[in-house]
Amino acid sequence: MADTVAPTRRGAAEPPAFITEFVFPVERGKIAEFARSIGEDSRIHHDVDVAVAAGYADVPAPLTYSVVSAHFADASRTGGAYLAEELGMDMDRVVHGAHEWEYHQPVVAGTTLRATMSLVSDERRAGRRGGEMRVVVREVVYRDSVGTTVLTERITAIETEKTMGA
Amino acid sequence: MRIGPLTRTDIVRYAGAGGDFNPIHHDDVHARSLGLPGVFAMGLLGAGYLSRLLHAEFGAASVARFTVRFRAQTWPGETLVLTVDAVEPGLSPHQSLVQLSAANEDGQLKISAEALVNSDAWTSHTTKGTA
Repeated sequence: MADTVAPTRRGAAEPPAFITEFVFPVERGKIAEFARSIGEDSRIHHDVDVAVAAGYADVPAPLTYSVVSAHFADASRTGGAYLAEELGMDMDRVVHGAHEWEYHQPVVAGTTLRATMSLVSDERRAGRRGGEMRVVVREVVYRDSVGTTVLTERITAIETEKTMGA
Repeated sequence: MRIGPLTRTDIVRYAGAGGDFNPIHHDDVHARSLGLPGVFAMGLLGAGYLSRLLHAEFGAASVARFTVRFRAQTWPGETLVLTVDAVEPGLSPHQSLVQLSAANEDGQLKISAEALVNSDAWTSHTTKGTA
């Protein structure tokens, strides 16, 4: 895979390159389901009255809720297929290195966010075993209906020097 | 905060809720074909657990930024021990930088994390005990 594609290396100084955009509706039921999946039983994620009493317009999403957007985005653009096919990464060696969220506004049920995913950087670094690893950072900016940025998410994928189980 | 022992059901529930259907996290046959002992949890499940610790300690509404770095895989049967390791001054007097981590019971680091927390909101969270 990697030897058939010659991807353009992107340094941090270059402007982000557009990858895809999608619509991400934020829903009460999905928030409750996601909260339960991480064992978060705070009533604020499950009971709109509790959320409103705490000052929210509706039930707020847990801090890592943006991952739910995987259900709404085109996986061929946002998932491993993009890394493999467009960037030529060897997915058997790719691990999820880091993830970051910057919170600008509360993410609450009933809103529809517009997400734009970009490639921020694509760099080779010296690995600990003397080889080379490749670090790819993508960013997703989520905006509300009037264009205000609500959330910024950064996803770091690392192509390691050898296969995970080797 | 201790969470576990982690079950395959926990992993599958998170896959359904979050939408990560990479078979490496739910299909033992596939995972073994890659040389792994079996499925392992998504790093983001551990990040979700750490977000609970942040919410419990500081209130989710006070969190301005949350960064997680995945250090090692978490396997079914492991129990995660989540800790706040340090609370340092942030760039402004109203913000603190919180260092936190998830490790297994043997002390193997799984996730290291950092959160920028607005101290004003944090104070109101702890004094009122809301949210």
